[in-house]
Amino acid sequence: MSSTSASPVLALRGIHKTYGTEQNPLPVLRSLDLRVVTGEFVAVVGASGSGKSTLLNIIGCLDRPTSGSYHLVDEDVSTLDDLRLSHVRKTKIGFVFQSFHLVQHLTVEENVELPLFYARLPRRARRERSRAILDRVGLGHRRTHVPSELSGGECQRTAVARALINDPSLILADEPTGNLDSVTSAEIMKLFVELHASGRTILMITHDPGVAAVAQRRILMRDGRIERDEQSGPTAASAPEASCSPN
Amino acid sequence: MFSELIVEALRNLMRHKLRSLLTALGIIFGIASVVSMVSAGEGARREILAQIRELGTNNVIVNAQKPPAEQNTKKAEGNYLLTYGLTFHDLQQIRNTLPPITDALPVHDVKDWIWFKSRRVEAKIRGVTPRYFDRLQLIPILGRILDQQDAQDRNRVCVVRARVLQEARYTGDPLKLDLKIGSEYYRVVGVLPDFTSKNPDRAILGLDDRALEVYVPFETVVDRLGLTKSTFDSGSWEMTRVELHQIVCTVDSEDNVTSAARGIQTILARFHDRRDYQVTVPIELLQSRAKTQRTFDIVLPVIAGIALLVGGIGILNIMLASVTERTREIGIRRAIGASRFDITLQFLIETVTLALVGGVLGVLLGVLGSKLIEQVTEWKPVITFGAVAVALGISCLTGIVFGIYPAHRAATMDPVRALRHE
Repeated sequence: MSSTSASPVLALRGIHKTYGTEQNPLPVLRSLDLRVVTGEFVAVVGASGSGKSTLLNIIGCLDRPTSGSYHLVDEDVSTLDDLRLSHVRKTKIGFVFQSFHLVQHLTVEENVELPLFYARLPRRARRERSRAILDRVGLGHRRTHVPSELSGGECQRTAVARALINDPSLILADEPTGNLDSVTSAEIMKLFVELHASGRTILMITHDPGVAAVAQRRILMRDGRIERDEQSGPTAASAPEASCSPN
Repeated sequence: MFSELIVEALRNLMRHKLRSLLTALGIIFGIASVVSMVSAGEGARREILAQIRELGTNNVIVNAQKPPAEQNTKKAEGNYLLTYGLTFHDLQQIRNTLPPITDALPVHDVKDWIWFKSRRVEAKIRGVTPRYFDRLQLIPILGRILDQQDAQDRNRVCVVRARVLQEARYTGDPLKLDLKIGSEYYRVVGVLPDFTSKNPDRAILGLDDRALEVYVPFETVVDRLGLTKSTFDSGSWEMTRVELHQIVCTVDSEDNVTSAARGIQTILARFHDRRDYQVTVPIELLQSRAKTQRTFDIVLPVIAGIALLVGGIGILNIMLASVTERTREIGIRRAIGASRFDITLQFLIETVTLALVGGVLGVLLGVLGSKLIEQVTEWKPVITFGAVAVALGISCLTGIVFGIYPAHRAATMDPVRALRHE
């Protein structure tokens, strides 16, 4: 699987992101280029403050670059307004966060269906999709529970289900195992590996070298630049159990 | 979409029952006061209408009035016969010279004793023509009214108020009673209901809620009791002569009532050298009362507005707090695809729902309040569909007005920062 032959899911060119005031600018991303093609599993690693999260926010259309161009599935999204960005988020991107980010007072299935609600899908269609996906992540029996009744692993499965429900082109995960113990981490990573195996494109931020090892491609960031970008040999799963062992 | 947002909003409100209730309290009281005040006002308005209808909107009523003492020139000349009031001549003039007036009915009142065995009570004997009953919508609950035959034959018959029978402690068939008025017996042929409601304007008709009223054919009164009355007053006899105490004029249409009244004034002014009469137009009373009502209509919205402003600010305050509290939720929703519009709609609907729930509770409280008003005062509040609709409309509007800012705050949050919010 060569990254040049497959169609790109995202292409960043010369991305700059600067925070702070004009007098006192605070550059976070400096002239960053990145290309991810369909079916890739990319892990982004780097120290705190290296710009990982900002990169993820820009890729996830939650934030806009100060300069540079960003194409997501052949669409230039770097210049879109808020409404269009919202549309991109709800149709092309699935988010999984470190602290799950479920709406606490909604049930598991309502949380999972939320992206479809904003896509104005009728209730019955939403329910059908959420059942299928919850069964797939092994939470069919938890549909009507609220997040506070679930374990951490179950919460993250719910979040993964929510990220999958709109059939996104790209799944973005921000340290998805950061709040989980090693056993549940391994379970969640297994889920990601399965998703990857089924053809999903995944971009994941992590601190955990073990987790990063699962990915087929690893990107090391430092000071707002990509310092290293390495491909590991096999496309899909190396043994996830082994990679998630505590280190 | 809308219905689901409303359900969601209701669920959110139910999660903080006490807080929602306290927040809506301002709206609840505001709307309750609006509803109860509007219904009290509406009740008053309807009562006025009913009262005026009782007097007849097409009627002009002319009453005899005892002139002030200094104007009694005849008495000053040593004549002990006091003559005042309306005359048969007036009646004739009104009938003949004013075309819009289709009918003019004479009334002669006499105060006399009615006897119940050895007990006597002062009653008001009213000499009236048969059409009088029709004109003032006096409908007997028993027997009949006076008719043309009674008038022609100068029959000694009478129609009495139910109170007269009560006063007489008479329990037999009222239509078999011979009532002793003065020194003669009159057969009761009909019974009129007592007044159930108060009407301050009734006095204009010479009707009195408390007086015992006995209606006798006009001709009978004139023939048998006469037009001159002697009273013994402060050591000397005083004679009073009044031909007619009242003339009830009926005008062909409501539009002509005012001009007809002016015509009557002109005629009477020509034949009377003193103000011993008074012309009253019931429909004008209605207009002046309606003017009082209008003041009420201005004060009410002001009070309601203040109440709702206070209530609205309460809602604004809580919704702002709620938006801050739910910053992370907003971030999550934005991350998974909610647009600013979606977030605005969600919070706006939540505020409007809260205000509407307050409105509904307020209406219920207002209905209760107006029932209380009915119990404690003599008003009869009327709750109209319109009042309820307006109240709910206002609470909805309050929700929109005071919900826009919190919703806007929620929608314009930076999703990245909102997600990081703890």
